[in-house]
Amino acid sequence: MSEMAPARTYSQIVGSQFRKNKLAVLSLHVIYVLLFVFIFADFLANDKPIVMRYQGSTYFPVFREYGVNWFGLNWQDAFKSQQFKILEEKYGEGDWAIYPVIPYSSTEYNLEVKLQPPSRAHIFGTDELGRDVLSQMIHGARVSLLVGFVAVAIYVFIGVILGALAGFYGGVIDIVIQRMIEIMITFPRMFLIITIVAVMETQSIINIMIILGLTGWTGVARFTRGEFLKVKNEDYVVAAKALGYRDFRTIFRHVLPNTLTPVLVTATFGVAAAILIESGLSFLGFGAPPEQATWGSLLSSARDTLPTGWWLTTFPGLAIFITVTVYNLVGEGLRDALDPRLKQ
Amino acid sequence: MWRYFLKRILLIFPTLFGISIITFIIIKLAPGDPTAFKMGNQQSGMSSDQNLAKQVIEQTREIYGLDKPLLLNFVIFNVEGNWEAVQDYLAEGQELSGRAYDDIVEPIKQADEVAVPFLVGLLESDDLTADETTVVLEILTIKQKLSISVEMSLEKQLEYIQNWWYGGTDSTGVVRNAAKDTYHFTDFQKFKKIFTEAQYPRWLVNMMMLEFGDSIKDNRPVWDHIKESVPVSLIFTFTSFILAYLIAIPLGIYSATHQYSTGDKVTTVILFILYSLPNFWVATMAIVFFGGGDFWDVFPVTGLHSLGAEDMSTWEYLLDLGHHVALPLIIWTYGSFSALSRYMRGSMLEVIRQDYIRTARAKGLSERVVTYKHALRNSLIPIITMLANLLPLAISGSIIIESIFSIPGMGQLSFNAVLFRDYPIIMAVTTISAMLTLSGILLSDLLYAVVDPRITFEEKR
Amino acid sequence: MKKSFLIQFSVLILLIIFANLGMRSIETFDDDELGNAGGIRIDLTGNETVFESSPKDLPPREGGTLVLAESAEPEHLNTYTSTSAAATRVLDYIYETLLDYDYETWRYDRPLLAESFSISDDGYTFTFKIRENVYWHDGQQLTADDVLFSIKAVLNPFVDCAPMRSSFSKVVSASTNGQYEFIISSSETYFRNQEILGGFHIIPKHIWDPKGLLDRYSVEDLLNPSVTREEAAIKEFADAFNTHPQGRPVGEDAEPIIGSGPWLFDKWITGDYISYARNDNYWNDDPTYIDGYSEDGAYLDKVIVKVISDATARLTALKASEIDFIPRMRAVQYFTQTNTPDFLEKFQKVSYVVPAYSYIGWNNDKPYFSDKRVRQAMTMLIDRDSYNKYVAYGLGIPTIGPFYIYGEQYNHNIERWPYDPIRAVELIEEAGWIDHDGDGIRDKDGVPFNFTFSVSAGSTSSKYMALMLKEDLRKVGIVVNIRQLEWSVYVENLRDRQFDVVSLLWIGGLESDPYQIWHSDNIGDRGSNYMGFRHAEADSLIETARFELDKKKRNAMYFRLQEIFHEEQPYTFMFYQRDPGAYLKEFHGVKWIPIRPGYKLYSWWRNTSMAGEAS
Repeated sequence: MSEMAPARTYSQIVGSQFRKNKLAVLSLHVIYVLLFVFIFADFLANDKPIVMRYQGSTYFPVFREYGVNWFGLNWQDAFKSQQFKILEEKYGEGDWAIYPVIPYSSTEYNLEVKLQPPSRAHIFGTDELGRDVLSQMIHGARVSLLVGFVAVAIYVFIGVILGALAGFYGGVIDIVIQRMIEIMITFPRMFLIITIVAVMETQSIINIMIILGLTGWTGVARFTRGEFLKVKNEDYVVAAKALGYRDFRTIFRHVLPNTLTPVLVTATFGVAAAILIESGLSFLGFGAPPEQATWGSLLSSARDTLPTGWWLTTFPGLAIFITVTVYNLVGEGLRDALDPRLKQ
Repeated sequence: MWRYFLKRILLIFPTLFGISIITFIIIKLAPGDPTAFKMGNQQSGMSSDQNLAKQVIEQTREIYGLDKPLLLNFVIFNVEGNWEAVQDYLAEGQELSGRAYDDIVEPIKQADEVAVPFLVGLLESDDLTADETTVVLEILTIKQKLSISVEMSLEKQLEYIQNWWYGGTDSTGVVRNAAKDTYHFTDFQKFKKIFTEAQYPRWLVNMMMLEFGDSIKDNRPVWDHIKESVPVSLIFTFTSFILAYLIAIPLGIYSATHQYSTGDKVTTVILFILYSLPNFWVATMAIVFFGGGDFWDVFPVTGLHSLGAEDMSTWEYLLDLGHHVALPLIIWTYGSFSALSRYMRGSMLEVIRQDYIRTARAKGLSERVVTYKHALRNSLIPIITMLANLLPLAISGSIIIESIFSIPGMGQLSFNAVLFRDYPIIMAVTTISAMLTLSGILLSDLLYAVVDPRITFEEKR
Repeated sequence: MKKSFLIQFSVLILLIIFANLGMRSIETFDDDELGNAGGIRIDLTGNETVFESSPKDLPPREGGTLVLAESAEPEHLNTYTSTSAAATRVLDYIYETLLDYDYETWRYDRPLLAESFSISDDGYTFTFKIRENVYWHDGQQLTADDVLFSIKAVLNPFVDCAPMRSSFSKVVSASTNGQYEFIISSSETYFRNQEILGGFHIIPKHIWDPKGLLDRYSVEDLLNPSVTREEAAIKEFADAFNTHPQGRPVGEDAEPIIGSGPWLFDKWITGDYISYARNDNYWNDDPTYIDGYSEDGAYLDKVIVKVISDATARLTALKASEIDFIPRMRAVQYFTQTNTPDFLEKFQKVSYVVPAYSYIGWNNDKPYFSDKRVRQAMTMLIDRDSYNKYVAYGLGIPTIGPFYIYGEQYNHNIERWPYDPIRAVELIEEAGWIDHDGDGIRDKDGVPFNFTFSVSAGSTSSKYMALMLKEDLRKVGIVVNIRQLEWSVYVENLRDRQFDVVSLLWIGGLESDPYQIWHSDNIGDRGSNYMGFRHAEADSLIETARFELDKKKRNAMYFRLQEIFHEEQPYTFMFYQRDPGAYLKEFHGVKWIPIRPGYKLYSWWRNTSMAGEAS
């Protein structure tokens, strides 16, 4: 019979277990890098300088952009048109600018350099409008990752709670939740997404995340329920009941960790799945708004140029592959580390 | 336990009813309607020979019963109230066109014939404003298909109504009967109209007789469409399911029993690579490289048969089918390997660590017996849950792969139906797939109980 | 995690330093002229009316099969109730009309099923003398009764062909005189009457109405709602007509469509292909059409139209010799993926003009675009030439108005608005759109210049247009939001006029009537003036021109109308379209014509000996 360990020790054990898995640790670092790109995308690829000296004053256009977008600031008069590269021609003595590593924004187009293979100026080449592919990938990472994270967070949350309630209590609660699952499963997901995209005034990636989240929870719920049904009669649960623990505590402190195993695998696959579903939606024309680059939309629009524009498909494809792989490896590592039976 | 399953079977019906009503409301509330495709499509553009004036659209909608209220037709009892709403709207000096106007006039139009005596009465009462007269005339013209055209003067239009309503001679000199007599309705007739003149009850009654109606797009029975497409999708879903299970489960078991070995790591990595490749991209690459473009000519890339397949012998026919199916089938299947074998590995690993397996090992049973007799049985539970998806998948198809490879399966059928707003097909596909899903879930619960004797369905407390 | 971020941050700083130290030169590669990428460019300007792209030195020979690929399948094949171009393409080979285009003048006055026709002096009544030697595919003779029946079917209010019926709304009577004379009257002397009244498919009465349900009713009856409402037989006929098996001959065992044309319907396997075979008993043995343009039957034994929805798959199938002809491919395929010597050796590429133009429509009733100066400025802000050169690969032909660019109605004296952002900004400021509150976005009367560009999902070209416009207008202080909508919603918004800007392709004819789109009567519920274009002079020009039967006078009015359009810019007229296609060089007699779909298969024949030599 297993003994309940205090929570603190438990998380320490998880940590040390996880660190034993080299591949998972490495993947975690790749996720850190992705996170870094996610946060600092504007500083990595932008057509605005990070710092610039212009006519005797120093400006920080990238920071200013945050101010303009979020805090209602306005652009300085000299920069109203936001065309910093054209401004360079007006540079006088002592004017300079420091640009991000990739001095292109994801939307800036230049028809004259369209469909260029990778070169020094455009490391990953350019697309059909002459936009820089690397810049689009960096900004696309934001969207793709966000879609994955938020959608999965929403559906794991809903799924685990509903599944746990259904599996633990059974009876009327189970019947009601089961009907909800059934209705959800039966509903044509693609139709729901298309409908909601049509209804919404503005096309936005947030809609996609919420829809994916709200429609994806059934798998998790059914897994959790199934695991609960299995675990419900195990000795330690019966023991917990006998000890007079409240239901809530029983569910979440003692049964849930045991049922998280398949859920975590689902979740890690889910992040990747959401990225892939988003790309499929982009393929059908119902994904992110056209001006928002995502890895999926890059891939799907590159389809037309195959087999000539190899760089258009290879790099976004690689990005999706790496991301999916590291999520899965981290998920695997966590899975092993969380397993309560490993503690002994 | 059998009582439990009987209860579950009975519960299918209210769920089905709920699903159908929700689907119905959602698809009808979605913007857009089938008449849009009469105006061309996005690839070929809008066609000048399709003049879709309002009257034309309303005629088309009427032919398909799309002008009726959704659930129950109560508007026939509230014609006067609805008219007052129109009067209020007009009093605000609003425009006589646009969405807001359509919404306010719609209830009167939905009352259709029942509203006619009231409307004619209004025209005769002489206290209408000019706008109100226009609206009344418009409603009468469109719904009763009067040959009043906007170019006619108001007097002429009123005269026409007069002649039509009370009879008399028309412009060609032919005597016409008074229309007045055909617009009498008893209360019972009106009551019946609540149900017969509404979209959902009409559909429900037909559905109960398994009559899904005709497609709006081409007037063919929905059944014919489904009968054509289901076998095509079945070829793919079943073969790919069998393939996936045959390959993924042994792989999963191998990975679990050889955890952390090189073999495990290699399978893991390969499965991740497969999983992470978006299928539409792989499909395109496959077409470009194996379809006989500038590279290898290995597989045909469109459809299911070669031209002239109907004259082939059975063996040739099957060979030809296999040749066409191979490429899409591989792409259909490869993504599901990883998920399936990961699940298998996960649950197998968990079972292997259980006490009773250790006990079995301690008893000196051979590793093979432990693995396949004791561990496998219990680790199949999550896999069974997935099996339940088999039934609905059989009719869902794959939109992306079917459209890339020009395969006329269920995926294309339902996606096109959604885009076209072909409501009868959408409803039929949803209802059938709902039935199959519900049966699938029931089946998987039943299997749960068979595989894992610990599971009970007795109610708690 | 902290440590990891610190490292990454320093790496980033280092990269920025290196990137800025190194020279940042953007190498611009000047695209040398794309040219025709090894294909033939067919314009059909001036006196060239039919273009033959294959060698002319061989005598045609019968036999052979042509397999061509289309992207979409017809919704069904009921000639009156179908509306898609895909259906028309098939049915035009099977059914015939009373009149057809003359292949020399491209006027709609060549008698086809009619032997001759006359118009009454007042211009209201058309009398068609029907040929006496025309037989349906099942051997029955085609008579004036069939013609009368056909028009009755169209006019039956319960038949689901309301869009088509609206063209016939001015018909007042129709009758037959004997077996071979058909008389039809209109209440207007509309200049397109000849094209409309002589241009509908004639269908066999004995197939579509074996019970003779419509016999009892005259055309006047069908136009009279009190008759159609009371007579159950009219509705009964329409219900049978709408779902008639002739309209959906799907499957191996379906009854073939009975028409009178040079091709016999063979079969339709849903989602796979439609095929038709040569009609060996075709009535028309008079080879007096244009030199070499035979309509006495056809040469090919069989034509198979495969449905391949994916463009990449379509081109691959062509390369793999699964199909012989793609009428339309993507521009990028035409210019970059079909240039290998092997391909050019085996296939002939052509780009041909079709009477369809693309435009960007500004909703004239929105505050942003109610001022014509703003609309002019918008046109001048769009770099149409660069777009054409780089995005459309030079396939577009710039246009200034809605009329067919090589037709008689087109006014060639008008100079296109240039690309001139500076002048455009001045105009916008003149119109009062100035950044009053200093937030970088122009505004007027408290309304920021912030509009939505609606793009139909799946239309790559309008998506690119919108993306470019968004980026360009941002620089002059105008915000563009792009909204991607599926087609049925897109059209609904268009009809309800719930949009700011749309981008569409409009398919016209060689001669067109601007009434439907440009007259102010057709704003709102009644017509297709979705932009809300109101102009008193234009209205009166359009009205008078409709009933002006003198072509010269009429076209003079249309010339003036185009000047008004040019000044008002309710649309930004973009390009007439050239469709790129490719076919196997084994085919000869390949001719291109200005009407849709741009080619007719009557004259095609397959030089099978060439295939022998090649292999």
